[in-house]
Amino acid sequence: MMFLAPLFLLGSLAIAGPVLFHLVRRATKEKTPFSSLLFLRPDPPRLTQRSRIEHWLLLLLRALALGLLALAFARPFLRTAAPAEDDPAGSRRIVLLVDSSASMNRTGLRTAAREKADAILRSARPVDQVAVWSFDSATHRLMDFTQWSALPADTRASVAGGLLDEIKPGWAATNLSSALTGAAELLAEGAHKGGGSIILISDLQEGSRVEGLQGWEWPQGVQVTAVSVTPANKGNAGLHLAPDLSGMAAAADPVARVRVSNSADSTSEQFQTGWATADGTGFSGQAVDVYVPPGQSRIASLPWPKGANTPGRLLLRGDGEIFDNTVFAAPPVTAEVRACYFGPEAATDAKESLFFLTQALPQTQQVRVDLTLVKPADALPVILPGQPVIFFASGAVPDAQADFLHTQLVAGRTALLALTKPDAAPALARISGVAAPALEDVKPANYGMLSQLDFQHPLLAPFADPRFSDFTKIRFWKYRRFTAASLPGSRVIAKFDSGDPALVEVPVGAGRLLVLASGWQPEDSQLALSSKFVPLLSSLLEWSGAVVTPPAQFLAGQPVPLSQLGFVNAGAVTLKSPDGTTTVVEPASGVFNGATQPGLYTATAGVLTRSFAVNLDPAESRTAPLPPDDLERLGVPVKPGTGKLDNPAAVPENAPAIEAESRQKLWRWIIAGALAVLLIETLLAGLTARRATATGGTVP
Amino acid sequence: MPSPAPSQPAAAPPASRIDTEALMSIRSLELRARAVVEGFWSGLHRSPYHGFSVEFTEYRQYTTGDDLRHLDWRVFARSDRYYIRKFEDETNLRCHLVVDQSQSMAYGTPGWTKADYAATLAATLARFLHLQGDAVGLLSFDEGLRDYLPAKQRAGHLRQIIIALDKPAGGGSTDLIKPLQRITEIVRKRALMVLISDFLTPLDDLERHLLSLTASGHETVLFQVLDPSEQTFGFSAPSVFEDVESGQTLFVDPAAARAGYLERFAAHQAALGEICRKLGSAFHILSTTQPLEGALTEFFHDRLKRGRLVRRGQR
Repeated sequence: MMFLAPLFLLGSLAIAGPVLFHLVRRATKEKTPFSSLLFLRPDPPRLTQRSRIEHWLLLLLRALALGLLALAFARPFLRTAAPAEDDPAGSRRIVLLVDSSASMNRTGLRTAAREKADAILRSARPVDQVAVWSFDSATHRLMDFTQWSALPADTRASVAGGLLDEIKPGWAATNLSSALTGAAELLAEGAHKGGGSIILISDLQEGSRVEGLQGWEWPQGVQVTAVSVTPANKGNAGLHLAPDLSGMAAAADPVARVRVSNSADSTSEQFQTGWATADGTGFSGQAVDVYVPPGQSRIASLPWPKGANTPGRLLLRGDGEIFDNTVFAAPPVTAEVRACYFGPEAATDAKESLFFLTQALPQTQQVRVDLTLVKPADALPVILPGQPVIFFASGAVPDAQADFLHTQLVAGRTALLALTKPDAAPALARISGVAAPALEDVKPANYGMLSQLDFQHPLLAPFADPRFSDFTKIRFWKYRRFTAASLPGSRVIAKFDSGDPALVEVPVGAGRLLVLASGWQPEDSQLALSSKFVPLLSSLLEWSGAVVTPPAQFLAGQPVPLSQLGFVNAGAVTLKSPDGTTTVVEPASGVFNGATQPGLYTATAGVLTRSFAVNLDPAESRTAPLPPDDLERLGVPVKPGTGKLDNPAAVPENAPAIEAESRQKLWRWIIAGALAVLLIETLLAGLTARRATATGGTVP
Repeated sequence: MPSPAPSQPAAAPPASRIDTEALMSIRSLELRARAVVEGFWSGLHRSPYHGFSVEFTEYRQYTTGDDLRHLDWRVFARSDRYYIRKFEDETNLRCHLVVDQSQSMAYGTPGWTKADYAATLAATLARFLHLQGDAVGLLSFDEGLRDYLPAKQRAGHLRQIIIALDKPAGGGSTDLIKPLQRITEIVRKRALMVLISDFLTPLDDLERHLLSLTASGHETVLFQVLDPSEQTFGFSAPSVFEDVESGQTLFVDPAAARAGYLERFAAHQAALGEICRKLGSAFHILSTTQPLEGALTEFFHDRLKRGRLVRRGQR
């Protein structure tokens, strides 16, 4: 056994203490009153007499506790076998993490980061193992430990530096937590058993997303050295698209809403924003003045240029850092949906279902529904392939039309059949393609209500919030009873309070048939008059897939799901990037991963063409420095870096001993042993004292 | 003429009826004394109060010159013989209890102090003698005189004695000489002097002053009240021993000092016994755990042996 601090063993001399105390114990200060000292003679305490020690076990325990304490402070360790050959003594494992996120596009940051990385790579000793990673929203492993070790020692730094040079200027957001956890996991695994350090070269901006470290247990022995690079200009303002609320209404002029945010350390307050010219060098029209104090943001509404329904870009002026001063905006797309209504009613008859349907179908900027009436005697409508259509039917539908609907449903479309009359049973059978369940007209004694609504179903999911989930105000005067079990594979979405099914989804081929056991017209129920009717129809349109509202923008570096752009079952999609490159995404993947830079992209599949905007993550504009203790608060042992590795001179001579001691931590066991001995000593002393008190003897 | 009924004290000391611990747990000194006396008397007679009048003591055959007023005419009527009824005479025994109430008497290990025990002993003697009709006086002392009550036989005097005895042991050290000097000066009539103390003081002048007492015609009886720990020195833990009188401290390891202590203690006791023997004084050693009745019995037995009277209706 060896000791890291053998001088502490001198502490074991304190064992003499209990021995002396046990001997000197006779010289107690306790006084015994006695009637007369006439017959007594002074008797000084004799310390040398061994026989005076009466409580040998107590003495031994006390001495043992002191000895163990001294031993623990001397930090003992056992000599272990020599380290493995591939892990030479004194070698360090270092992961160099270089930030390549969009915020690093600020003036001077890339150069500064590159220089610091070079300095660190050059200061690595030949025995060190270095991995070079860059990170933005994802982590890119440029060089790992084995590649580093395989290179000749004198060329390692230059090769790694070359790899860093190859990184394209990124526009993605920063995900510092995933980079740190990935590097820490790499260092925690392997033969080193948790030794190593991470050197982080970054601007450490506020929007670095460190929340992912919350609750993640940082491995022991992995140290983070933060080498921060600071930009030449202080402060930054950013321009970003804000959600366009006008799409919900049928407003005449579309408006682009932009948010101008100003970082807390900014010195500018006055900015201008407006539509840019085609080449993006200046404003194409009148710019809007925006006053944004540092640390705040303002929203500006900019009307789209008259007659321009092509994508455009908006500029921000007044800010020194231009990397986030441009946003791209695709014009709002109006989804054209065709709805076919099968029924005999007239659209003007306020007592019938159709009247309410024509009133309630949305006609907004985002969605425009074209309703086609198909009366029983009319010819079948012509439906183009790929055309977004939804079908409504009420009551008895003629067989030909019912067969037509069945065909459409099998092809993947959606229909809603309202059972307004008991004679709708044959139509239900033909549309669903199964044997018709018997329909029975039911008039509840008072009225019926919806109950047991399945808010897990996508159709009702928007109503799941308790604020919207009250359907009890919709009263049903009559409905048609049928057994849901007679429709194979059906799913009951809502029931009446009597337990009969009210709304049932029946799968038909690739499509779905919704069966409503009543009508929404006032004769049957109050559904059409309730506040739920319009949102229910909107939910139905979205659920059926007939209406797809593409997001206003995608974020650079994030995957783009093509289904969100309306490419459903559309075959291969060709995407054109702002730099002119084209990418073909096969239907199997359905996700475009090449949106790495901001700009306007075009996706084409057959006749359908969609433009979409890709912009910077707004978090990248939050360039104020990350509070220094944020990482430490999340459990990351971080220290500020000097830009160089702490090299050989700093490595103490007894580093292997320190390492072995810190790994074995024998002192913990010894301290635990000392505590156990003290516990036994306390119990024993207590017992002895009690016994001594009982017999009138001495207390040790 | 039949011989008068003899009055005989018990020849053998009676077994103790009252446990010392139980006795000392009685708070009232008077009750304690009464308990001991009754226990003692019931040891002498089965029924100490039955058939006795306070005044009447015994019959005596009539001789010429006796006062005819005392002739018992009823006995004469029954037996045709002349008997004289004897009544209580004025006592001729005066007893002075000289009780040590110094600080050293306030020491005790069994749960009561030597002073408690000594007070009980004194009160018992006082009550007993008072019941016999003897005059009892009290002189209590520590380093000086504390209380002095002259010997009287008056009713209520016993109560005063018990009140004086009931005072707690005082604050001074033991000085036997001053009370002996003082009592020699005060008491001129022959009397029984009962000294109750632990006698744990140097005996230098004790013999001389005791001699002056006996020379004055007083009979002296010494009761030495000792705590068991003083007799055996049964301590085990080395510690600082503090003299309760002087406050002087001394570190003592009992294991080592016991032999020397016992030796010096035995020498002291021997010297005290020798003084008493030389002066003809009775000397009784009482341990505070010893039953008081036994002590009394021993005391009276001893007095009988000395040919002195136990005044149990003998006069």
